[in-house]
Amino acid sequence: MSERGDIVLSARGVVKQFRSGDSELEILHGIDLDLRAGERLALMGPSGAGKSTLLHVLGLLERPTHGTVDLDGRDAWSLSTQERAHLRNHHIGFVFQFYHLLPELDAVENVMLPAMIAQSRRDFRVDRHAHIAKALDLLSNFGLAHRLDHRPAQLSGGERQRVALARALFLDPPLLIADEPTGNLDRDTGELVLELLFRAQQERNLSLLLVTHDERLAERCGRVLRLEAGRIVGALPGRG
Amino acid sequence: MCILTRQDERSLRILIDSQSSEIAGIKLTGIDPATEDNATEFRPSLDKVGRNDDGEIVAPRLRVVNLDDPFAAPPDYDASVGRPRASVIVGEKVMMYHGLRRGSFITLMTAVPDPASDTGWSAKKREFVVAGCFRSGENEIDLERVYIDRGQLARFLAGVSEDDPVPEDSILFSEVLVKLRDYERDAEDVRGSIGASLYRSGLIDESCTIRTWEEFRGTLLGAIENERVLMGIMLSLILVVAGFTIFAILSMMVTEKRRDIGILTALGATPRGVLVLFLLIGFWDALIGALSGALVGTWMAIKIDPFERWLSDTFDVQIFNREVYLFDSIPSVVTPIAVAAIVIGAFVCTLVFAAIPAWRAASLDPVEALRNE
Repeated sequence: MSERGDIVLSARGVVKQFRSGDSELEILHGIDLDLRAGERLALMGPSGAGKSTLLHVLGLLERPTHGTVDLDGRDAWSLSTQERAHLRNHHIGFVFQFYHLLPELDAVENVMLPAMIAQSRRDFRVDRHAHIAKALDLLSNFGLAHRLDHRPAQLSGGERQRVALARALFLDPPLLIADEPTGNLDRDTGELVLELLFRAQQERNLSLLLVTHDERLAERCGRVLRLEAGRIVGALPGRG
Repeated sequence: MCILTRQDERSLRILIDSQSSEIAGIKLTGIDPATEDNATEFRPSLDKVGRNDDGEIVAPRLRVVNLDDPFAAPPDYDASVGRPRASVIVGEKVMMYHGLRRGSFITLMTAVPDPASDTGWSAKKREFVVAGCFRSGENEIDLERVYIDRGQLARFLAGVSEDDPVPEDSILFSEVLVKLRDYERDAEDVRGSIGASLYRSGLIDESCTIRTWEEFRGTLLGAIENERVLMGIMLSLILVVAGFTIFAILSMMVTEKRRDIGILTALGATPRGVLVLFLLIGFWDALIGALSGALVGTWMAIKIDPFERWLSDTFDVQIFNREVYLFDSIPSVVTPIAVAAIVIGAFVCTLVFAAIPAWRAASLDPVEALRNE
């Protein structure tokens, strides 16, 4: 086990309950999880095991009923809404299965979106050229130099996911959360996206939390956690 | 007072037959043309006669010949023996409805108190020549008023010839009009001081009242005020409906952009940021809507008459019937304070209606919004 200082994300006793009428449904039953800097962690499990809920709690999108989530050394769910939004903006990069790009913006603008949110309108205008240069650099590295001014509707699934990956990396967050990043892509395209994802993770020494159904993909991660019925039932070392 | 357009012995029969177009009740007003303009719009009303919207004179034969001497007989008028020697100026509508022209003769009939008569009244009847007509712009006045020189009115009522001196016991004044430079400021003070000085001089007693023009035209002004209030209520309702439209459009936008709002939140947008984003949409809607509404509304209020005529001509529907209403043009005054109040009201109303969907967008659960498609 590494030093405590290496830990980027830490969850302790995370419980999530949903109220359904008069009864309460418990989806997560006390999850403990640590993610170290530069570590690649895969979260596996059957549908309904609570993977997405855990991902949302760890990604600071959904408040746990009990338990804590520490990110950047701070108990994220005890912070104010503003501080938590800032943490999400600067410390987490999201890659979703369905890309979730804004349809009205072109590829470059979609990539710059985290900076648009982080800065005031005036500051963004001042830094605009630097942001554009950085977005162009990222998109060119991902083989999208010819697609800069295309909107999501004009891009293929693989291209959209590469734009989403560039967006996730734009503010250099220490943590990358990917939810079935290849779930909506064919095998070859998915492989290309994964290569880019793993390469970026390695080059930037990012912590990667990957949710997948795909055993072969999970094996390429350093550690695999298996989630069943809201509990972690096994941890396996991967090959990655 | 009656006006008879033909001098014949059928007068009494016509008087009984109220349907006849040859007889009508009028208000005969004796004036001094030299001083009348000090308090009224008499002279401009003579100049407005028969002008169309472009200011061109369309019927010069209806006008008086000389604005400085409006009661002068028409130039080709033959004032030989037996012809009427006093003239009158009639309202434009009186002229039109009775088929009169400059130089026409009319007979005026009235009754004056006469203690010597059995009935206590005696009828007076005299023929006059029409010197021209005036146009006040108020149908009520143009339909029933006839102006006569004050001296000739006194002679008519006294029953003496037009060329005789005015009898000494004639009542020469029954009304004194006072025009103020600043009515709003001085009306009450001047009313008080005129009343006090007339009372001191013994010209009036306690029962006499001095009325402002607003009291004089109280019924008309009351009706206009009622219409203004009703119009205000109607426009406020329209404003609320427009506010609901903004609300509906923004609500639809929030529903449609649900996923995008979730994406922004996931990427670090705060609920306050999302709120401001949608409030800004409402702000620009409100600003552009209120300003363009103010510009178009003000322009239309200024150009309401040509616009109404264009609508009436284009769609062949009479929107403002000048025969029915009191005015010959749609009365419209643009007050900057009223325009500002309406613009601010519309702006605030739009913002309030935009705030509800904006708040809904801000409180959207990102997880719900991002749930798989």
